[in-house]
Amino acid sequence: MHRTERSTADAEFADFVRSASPGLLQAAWLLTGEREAARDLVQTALLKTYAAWRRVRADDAYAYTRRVLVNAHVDRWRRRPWREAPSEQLPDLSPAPDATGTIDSRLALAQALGVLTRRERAVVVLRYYADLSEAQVADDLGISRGTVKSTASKALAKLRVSPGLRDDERAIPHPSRRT
Amino acid sequence: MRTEDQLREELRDLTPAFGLGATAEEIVVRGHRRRARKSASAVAAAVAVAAVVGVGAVRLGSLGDAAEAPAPGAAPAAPGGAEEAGPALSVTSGGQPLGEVVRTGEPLGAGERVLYVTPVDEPQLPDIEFGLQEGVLDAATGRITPGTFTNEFDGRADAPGFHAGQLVAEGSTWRLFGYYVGDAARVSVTVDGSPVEGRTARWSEDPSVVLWWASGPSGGAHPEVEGLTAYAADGEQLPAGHNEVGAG
Repeated sequence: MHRTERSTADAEFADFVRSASPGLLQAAWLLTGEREAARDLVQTALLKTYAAWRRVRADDAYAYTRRVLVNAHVDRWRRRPWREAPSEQLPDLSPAPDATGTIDSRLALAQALGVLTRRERAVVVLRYYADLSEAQVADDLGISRGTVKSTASKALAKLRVSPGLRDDERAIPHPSRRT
Repeated sequence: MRTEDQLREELRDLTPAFGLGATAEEIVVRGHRRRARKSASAVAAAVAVAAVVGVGAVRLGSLGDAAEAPAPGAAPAAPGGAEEAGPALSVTSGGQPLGEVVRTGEPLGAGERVLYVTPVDEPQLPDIEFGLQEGVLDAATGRITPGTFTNEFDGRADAPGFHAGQLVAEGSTWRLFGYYVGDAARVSVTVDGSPVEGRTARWSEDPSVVLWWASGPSGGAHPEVEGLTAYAADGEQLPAGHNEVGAG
């Protein structure tokens, strides 16, 4: 690659990092629930995106990076298959910009995610945060659509009975049939 | 009742209260380095080893007085300075060195203990591109016989902190080595309850990677190693990373 072209590509990539990082970091944090693990995942994904930048810059670089991030997350949990104990620490949650009291419900949801298995958590995050279809989630996680559906059902059942999410007002919905 | 869309909204409201931990420019620089390492890895087998004679690599990579002070139990540095020429170094087997071979000046086996970085290309470890090899140099011939190899296996090889700490206990001696990613000026560790100052050298291919090593007499077959810690030049304690030490 010519030096000028590389400089331009580097500048574009740096802009991409600045704009994409908040969303990627949020996805990684929702997946892992851990600050350092989330940072590590995002940095790993960005470095891999950098290596492929010439190829992906014209496409949906954000979707590419998010997919790399999810793959890295799955790779790591397969290498470390044991179930980690939920952290007693409060999550690294930023204050809600608008309303007093909102923090409690957000905190309850953040803590409730901690009771899910890593697969359940990944399905919830990809399905409801990243808004992927069941087929896309299945593809990203390397599992069948049926497993996505059943895992989502179990995960939402767990969330429904989590402390702070149990009352009717805060009830988590049953998974719909929408795909 | 809450809808799925409401759940989506609430998940999106869960924004983390911390940043990426690196600037965009730092990510670009690391991307460059990673690409350079991959290129170096691809041609490593065809490239002559860049020999650094005597304690040249230690001196080139030294990070202050502590780095140059002999470790407790370590032998004096090998005679000869960086200017003294010697035979070209060659590795008898295994991965070829990426960058300079670090000569520790410590006797090991029938030669001198050396450390060098070699490429790692394992499909199961996609984020691990290099590891650290200990070897024995025959100074007369320049031949290096590889010994214990260590690499990170959890997370990235170049994440800040310690990686791949390795203990080798043989007879009445122990040896430790590994690497630290970051601006470490000093590395200290406690072995069998006694503090030990490690020696350090920056990797010629990426000065943010600091190789460290130590050695000493052993009080038993299984030395207790704990408290592996890195310090910046101003004495500030640096992030630990994976500061556990494996035994092999």
